[in-house]
Order: sequence, then C-alpha cells, then structure tokens
Amino acid sequence: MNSLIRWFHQLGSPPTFDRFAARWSRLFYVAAVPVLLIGLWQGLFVVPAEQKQLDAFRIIYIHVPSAWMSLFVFALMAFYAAIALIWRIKICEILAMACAPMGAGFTLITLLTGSIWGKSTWGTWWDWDPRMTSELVLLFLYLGVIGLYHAIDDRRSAARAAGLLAIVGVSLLPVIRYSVDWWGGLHQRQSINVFGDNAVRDQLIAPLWWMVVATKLWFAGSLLAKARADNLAREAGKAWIAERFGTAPSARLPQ
Amino acid sequence: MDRRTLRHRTIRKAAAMTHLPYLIGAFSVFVLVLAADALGSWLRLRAAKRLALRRQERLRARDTAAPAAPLATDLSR
Repeated sequence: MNSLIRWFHQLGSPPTFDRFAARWSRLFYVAAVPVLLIGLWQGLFVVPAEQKQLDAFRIIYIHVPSAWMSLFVFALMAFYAAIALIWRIKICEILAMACAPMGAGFTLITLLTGSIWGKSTWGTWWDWDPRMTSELVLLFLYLGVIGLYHAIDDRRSAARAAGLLAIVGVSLLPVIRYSVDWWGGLHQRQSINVFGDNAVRDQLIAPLWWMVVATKLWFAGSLLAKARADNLAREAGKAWIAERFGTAPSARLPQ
Repeated sequence: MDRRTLRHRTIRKAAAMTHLPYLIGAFSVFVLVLAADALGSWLRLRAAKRLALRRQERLRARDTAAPAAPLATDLSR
C-alpha cells in the first residue's frame, strides 16, 4: 500500500489522531498569529484609504475572508459528514462536528462586520437582501447542526443526524454565492476573484491574502483542538487513554 | 525608520482615519470571536482530559477492588 494512503488510514485510528491533533493544532494556532498580525497591520496601517469609501473599506480585510470561510467550513463539514455516513469512520464524524462552532463563528463575524460596514456606507445596519438573508440562514443551519449534535445522547447517532443536516444544508451554498447575481439586492456583486480580475486595486489586495491564509490556519488549529477534545471524551474508557495518561494514580495530564 | 518614529506615525495615521468607530467595532468583533474560539477549544480540551482521567481512575479503582465471588460453573436453582 502506498505510504500516503497507509498514513491516511492510520489517521482514522483514535490514538493516532490524538497524537497528530495534539501536535498540529498548536502549530497551526501558533502559525496563524504572525500571519494574522501582518494582515491586520497591513490592512489597517499600510494600504492607503479607498477613494469612495475612505477608511471604511478596511473592513473588507476581515469581512471577505470570514465570508469565504463560512462557506468553505460548511462544505468541509458536509464532506466529512458524507464520508462518515458512507464509510462509518468515527474520526470523520468527530471532524465534521468540530467544524460547526468555528464555522458559526466565521458566519457571525461576516454578519456583524457586514452590518457595521453597511451602516457606514449604505446608512443601514440591516436589509432583507438575498445575500444577507441567505448568510443568516447559514448561521441558523450551523446552530441547528450544533444543537442537534448535543440534543441526542448517543454520540454516533447524534453525529449521523447532524451530519445529514449538514449534507442537506450544502444546497444553500450556491444560493449564497449566486444570490446577488440571481436576485440583485443591496449587496454588491463579487469584486474579488482568486483566479481572475479584481474590481479592487492590486495595491489594496495584499493584506486580504494574508488574512485569507491566517483564517485558514486558525481554523485548522481550532478544528484539530476541538476534534481532539471530542475524541478524548468519546474514548475516555479505552486502554490507549490509560497508556497516554500513564498508569500511576497521580498521573499528570498529557500535553 | 526607527521604532519610535514608526509608532508615532501609526498613532497619527490611526487618529486621522475616517469611520474610526466602525473600524474599531468591526475589528473588535473579529478579534473577540477568534479569542472566544481559542478559549472554547482550550476549555473543551481541558474538560475532555479531566473526564478521561476520571474515567480511567474509576476503572483502575474497580480493577483493584476485592474480587467478586467466584461464579458457579453450572446452573443451580
């Protein structure tokens, strides 16, 4: 078997995943901090103000990466949930459910920063515009997944039910992405493309990429830390936990 | 440019920004949510470790307790 495939299979084992997550969650969090600081520094103090929106446009550096993450995390959650439903891989159930809190966090940031940006440029905190409304529905979906997962006692049944909701909820993602093109509304059309022309000047784009990388790294750290916690809680009575925690009654908590 | 000059220039630039309350509000939301997430992850991990440790201690206590009465090898009334 290919060594990469073997490693991937081994990662499905709870003890191996625990070792992997313990090491990498911290590394991702630590790596995210300097990237985040560079992005925030450049976005707030280095790039010049935009001609029409002046300094209010700087909210783009937190609003856009968070909005992208809110969609990406939901798609990832549904992907893990599908794998967990088809192949019954416990770690994928855990990973799918660990996506939800940070996904909800990014959606909340998107809505709140968008609202603040809207007040400063459009003169209103909120409008029942298709993009904003569909993003709000996404937040409710995240909360639904979290609520459903915690409402059922059996962890595996809970993960399956919540995973199914995540898979169904994926149909909302194209609605959010194309809502402005389909129905118009107050929200502007897409002005930034990863591959293609941007409506925003090149000079103003650099901090955005720093923030995109920073939010990805932060999410990876958060995902692994939460998945590790869920994995430890589910496996609390298993022999590998005893080995990991040591056998002496006064064993110290593992790092 | 030395550090002091850079700091002064940054403060002057920040003070001259338009829409400053909105910027402070938006960036505070971002930082607060990320900080809450990190704190939440840490608390969940700590609670899971304690739960696992408690469960292991209970299992160990059960194993070291007096052995149960031997079971009969055949059924009796």
